[in-house]
Amino acid sequence: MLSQINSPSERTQPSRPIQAVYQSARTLPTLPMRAVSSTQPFLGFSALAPPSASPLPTQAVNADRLASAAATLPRQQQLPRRGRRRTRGPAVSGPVLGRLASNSLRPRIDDCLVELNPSTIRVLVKVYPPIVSLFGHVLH
Amino acid sequence: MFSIKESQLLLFQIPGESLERILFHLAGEEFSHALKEAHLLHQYELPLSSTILSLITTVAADMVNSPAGYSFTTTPRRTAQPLSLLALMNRGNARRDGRIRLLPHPVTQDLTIQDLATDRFRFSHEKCIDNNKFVIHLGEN
Repeated sequence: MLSQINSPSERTQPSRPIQAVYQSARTLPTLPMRAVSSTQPFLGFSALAPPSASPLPTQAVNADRLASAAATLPRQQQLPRRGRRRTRGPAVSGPVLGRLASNSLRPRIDDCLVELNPSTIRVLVKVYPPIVSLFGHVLH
Repeated sequence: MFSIKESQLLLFQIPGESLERILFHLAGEEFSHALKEAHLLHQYELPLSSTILSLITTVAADMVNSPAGYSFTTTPRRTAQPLSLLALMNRGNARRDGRIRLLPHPVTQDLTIQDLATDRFRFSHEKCIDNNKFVIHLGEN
């Protein structure tokens, strides 16, 4: 990985920006294009690569340009971080019991009504003896 | 005001424990059992429209007619009703020591059982519903 980055910088001087205007070595396709032949996959395919056997060193050129840009172009200074570096992340509600289940288990006053006559209620009276009130009433 | 016999008071005691500690430490079933033995636990089926005053009169009569044979004494400075109505304090929330306190609640002429059944904070709290029965707490007056 490191050698791949270093190898183009050996060919060029990365400290100096490339001033020359980029000129493509490829021959621009002449318009109008030639008629599409049955052997061509798409229009202008033949103009992409020169007919000569040696391929253009486009990869090397691109790598050089990237290395030059990384070495010479001014960078925006990194803004200082504000607040906590480690955030709590998005809020997540904890697990809860089903509302229906908890409500059905909870005793309700409606359960005390007499089934056959709902205007009547079952009442359990607890009379707290006087000694209890002596120390203050507490639910037993 | 009603007096409780010493033999009945023993029902609320555990040997070797001081009385005030026992009364606070009896809980739930144990306390209900002691109340039943002392004829202080009464069960009724009443219309929702019946008044608390009539309920108190009924309970007091049942106490007098019970084998325990309670008797009520009235003093001029007290109200006419023989027993007082107790309401939950602090919406039935327990104090730091785990106790839920009860406080005497004024009984007006037109106060009905339905009024109590719809007052969830003071009377029909889930802690006052025991085995499909609405528990009403009364105390001495």
